[in-house]
Amino acid sequence: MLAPKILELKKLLMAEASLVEKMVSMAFHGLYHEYRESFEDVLIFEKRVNQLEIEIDNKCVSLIALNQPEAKDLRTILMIYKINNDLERLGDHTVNIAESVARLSMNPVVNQLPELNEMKEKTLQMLKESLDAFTEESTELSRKVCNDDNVVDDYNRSIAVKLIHLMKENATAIEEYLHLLRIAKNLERIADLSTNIAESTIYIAHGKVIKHHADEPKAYYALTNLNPI
Amino acid sequence: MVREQIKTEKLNLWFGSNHVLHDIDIPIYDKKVTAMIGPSGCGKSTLLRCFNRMNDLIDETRIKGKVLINGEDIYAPKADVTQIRTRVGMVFQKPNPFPKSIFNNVAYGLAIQGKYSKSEIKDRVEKSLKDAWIWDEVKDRLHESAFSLSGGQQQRLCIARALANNPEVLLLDEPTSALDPQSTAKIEELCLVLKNQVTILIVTHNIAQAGRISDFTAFMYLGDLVEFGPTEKLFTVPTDNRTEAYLTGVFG
Repeated sequence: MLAPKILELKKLLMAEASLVEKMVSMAFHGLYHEYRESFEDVLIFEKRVNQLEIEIDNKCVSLIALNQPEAKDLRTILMIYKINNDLERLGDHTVNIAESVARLSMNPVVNQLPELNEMKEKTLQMLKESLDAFTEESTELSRKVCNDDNVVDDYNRSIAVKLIHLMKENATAIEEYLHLLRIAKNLERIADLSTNIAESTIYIAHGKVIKHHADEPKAYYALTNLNPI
Repeated sequence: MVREQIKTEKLNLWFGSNHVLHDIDIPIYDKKVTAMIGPSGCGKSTLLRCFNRMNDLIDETRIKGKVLINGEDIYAPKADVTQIRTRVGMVFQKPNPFPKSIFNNVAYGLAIQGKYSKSEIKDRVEKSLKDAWIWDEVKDRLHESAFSLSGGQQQRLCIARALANNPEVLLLDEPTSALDPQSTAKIEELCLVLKNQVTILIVTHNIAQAGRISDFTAFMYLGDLVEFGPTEKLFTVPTDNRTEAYLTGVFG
């Protein structure tokens, strides 16, 4: 009896996800192209995402209250609730990016940092794959997304190092460089949230918690020299 | 827009000196499932039995107030009790088929009315058994005793028997509490389909069941109607502390 209701919830979540994906592409478009309305357009999408977040939250609460779901049904509804929250956060980070992009539009300093475009491509790919993995319930693709997070983290670190170097060389453009740093930081958060979505998919499929290396405690504690409690 | 099919106005009921129902004002909406929940002895079954005057059978019953079905007071002096019970069918906690064949369990009520031909009765029996989702299981053994059926089948037979009269309202008094989970699921799904043709009132001790199948829920406590509203609202944000306490298992 619950399956069609969960399917409806999934569809709503995917509608929210596709809005967020479009928002991220839209936010970056203004960085490399003439697109003055970019920030305003992103804000319009964010408003819609926020409305959907509340709608999905309410539907999850009602579904649990009225149906007492168990096992996989319960895991799916709980994770939809969580992914819904992740998507709303993704929207917020995208607004931050769009805000900085509006200050930088077509500014030549952007060309000094080609790595940012690579980082964006990788992050967008992670986001897309995390959502594909959710719809297909693919744990394989989810694990790939989790592993790719390191790549984006590396980009973030190397971009920060490079920007510090550029700031030292050209202090007149510090404000622009800080905006680039902010964009990179927010991309890194988008990648983290995509990883969260992938971890939720693995939990739906196997009921297994993999975040914070919870599935491999011994190896993790050996690595960090901490004692398991 | 939903239509009020049944409505009570300041309904009070006493069994002797025991004041069981206090000033009940409740609307029951057409072609919806309304669940009545509450701890044992709160009056929910008594209220249910007011809707087809089943409490008349208990001595020393006294009723004040009105029960209106489609605007007609069923406790008015001229009201025809037999006709009311034809319009408002009822199914009880324990399946109670007649000691007759499966076919005659459904046909009996129609036959004694003396207004249907044999072929009409046959058609109606078949339709009722189909509507109660039991036809496929019994169509080859219609003349076997109803007691040869399982508990869940007997209960669906009782629903078919109630449906044979084309009732406007179906009262279900804990219809699944004597059944296993599979038979229960079947009856719950049946309710969700039947509500397209008949208004359903169900008394249940199973809170989860009320959540799964009802559109509206009434919570009763110590003879009072504490809260009534859309099930979704009552189950997520009840307005009365007693409803909250009952749903979360603090008492009851």
